[in-house]
Amino acid sequence: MPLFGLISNDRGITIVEVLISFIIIVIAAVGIYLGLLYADSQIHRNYHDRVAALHASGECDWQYYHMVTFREFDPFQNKSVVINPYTLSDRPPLLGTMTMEIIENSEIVEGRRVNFKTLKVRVVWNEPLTGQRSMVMQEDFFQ
Amino acid sequence: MIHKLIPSIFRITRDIATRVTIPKSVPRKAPPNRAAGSPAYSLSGNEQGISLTEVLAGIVVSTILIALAAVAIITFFNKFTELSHFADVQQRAYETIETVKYGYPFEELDTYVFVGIANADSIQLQALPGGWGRYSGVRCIPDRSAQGHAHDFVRYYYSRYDQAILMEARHGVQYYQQQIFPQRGEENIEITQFDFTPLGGGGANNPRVVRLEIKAEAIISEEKRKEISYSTIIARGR
Repeated sequence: MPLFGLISNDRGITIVEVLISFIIIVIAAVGIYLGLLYADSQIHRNYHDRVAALHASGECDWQYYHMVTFREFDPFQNKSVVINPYTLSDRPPLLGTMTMEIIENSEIVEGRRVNFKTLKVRVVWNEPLTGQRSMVMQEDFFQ
Repeated sequence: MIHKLIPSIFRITRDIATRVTIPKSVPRKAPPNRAAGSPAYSLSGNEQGISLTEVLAGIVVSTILIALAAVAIITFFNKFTELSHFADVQQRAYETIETVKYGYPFEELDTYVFVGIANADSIQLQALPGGWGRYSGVRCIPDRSAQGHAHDFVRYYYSRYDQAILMEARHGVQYYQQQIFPQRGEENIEITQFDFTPLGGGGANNPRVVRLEIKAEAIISEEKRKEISYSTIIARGR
């Protein structure tokens, strides 16, 4: 429609047009809100991933120290770790469980079989909104 | 004076009578068809105006629409700021742990040398004055065998004055001091904990393994903060 047609149009707007405008604005607002919720969830998930990664890498370092000092691993099962203490809010702390697994491995290097142990540390927790999530770190220990 | 400005009722009547007298010989113009909305009689020629009801309805509808849009925009920007600050403090704290663990990069000819806890020859935990016996600093001694590096060291510590984690170091003949977390200008981050704990039965003097804890808060507003809490174990590699 030409511009002068729009300017000179004095028919006004109907209630249907007003309601459609309302619906479009509400859909846009809901979309922005859902986007923010998703971003919030994603940033918290990234934070929990980092916390779990630091717990797992710390455990690998501890097992390395134990192996170097005592020539053996320090085995454990189902150690509780804090993923998010939520100290500034009323929510209960988000806890996770850390487990370790030692796998006997070997590979051929320059025609010789080399034995080594693979330490696998896994941290599992229940991520709000998305369900169970886990972080695994592994390190090879050559003898 | 007033009687000159306001004509008498008789005069008005006479004027109207004069105006409505139309000679039969003059053809009358057709009135504009406003309902048709033709361009010739558009808004510019429309002298009907709008009623009070229409004005009120327009104000109510506009107010609702503007309020909805304003609330949505303000909420969006507030939440965006909150998430942005929270993501920043997460990333910066994680980078700080990586720096303390693997080392600060010192430029050396065409390469970099990293000096941190994991690759230090020895480390010493340091309790800062007024720190209630907690270790809020670590001094790392790297391999000093190279010529000109006999006094090299790196120290990562919490400065209560700066309310920040600082790094000071000597590498060769160069002396460094730098604020690493939060960086200067990052006023919206506050560090609440930076502690080392010796593990494995060792003391503060050259432990083989330590626990590092960092807590920091992203200051969203005066009333609102978001905290991150990282904890990890770092073993000395040598």
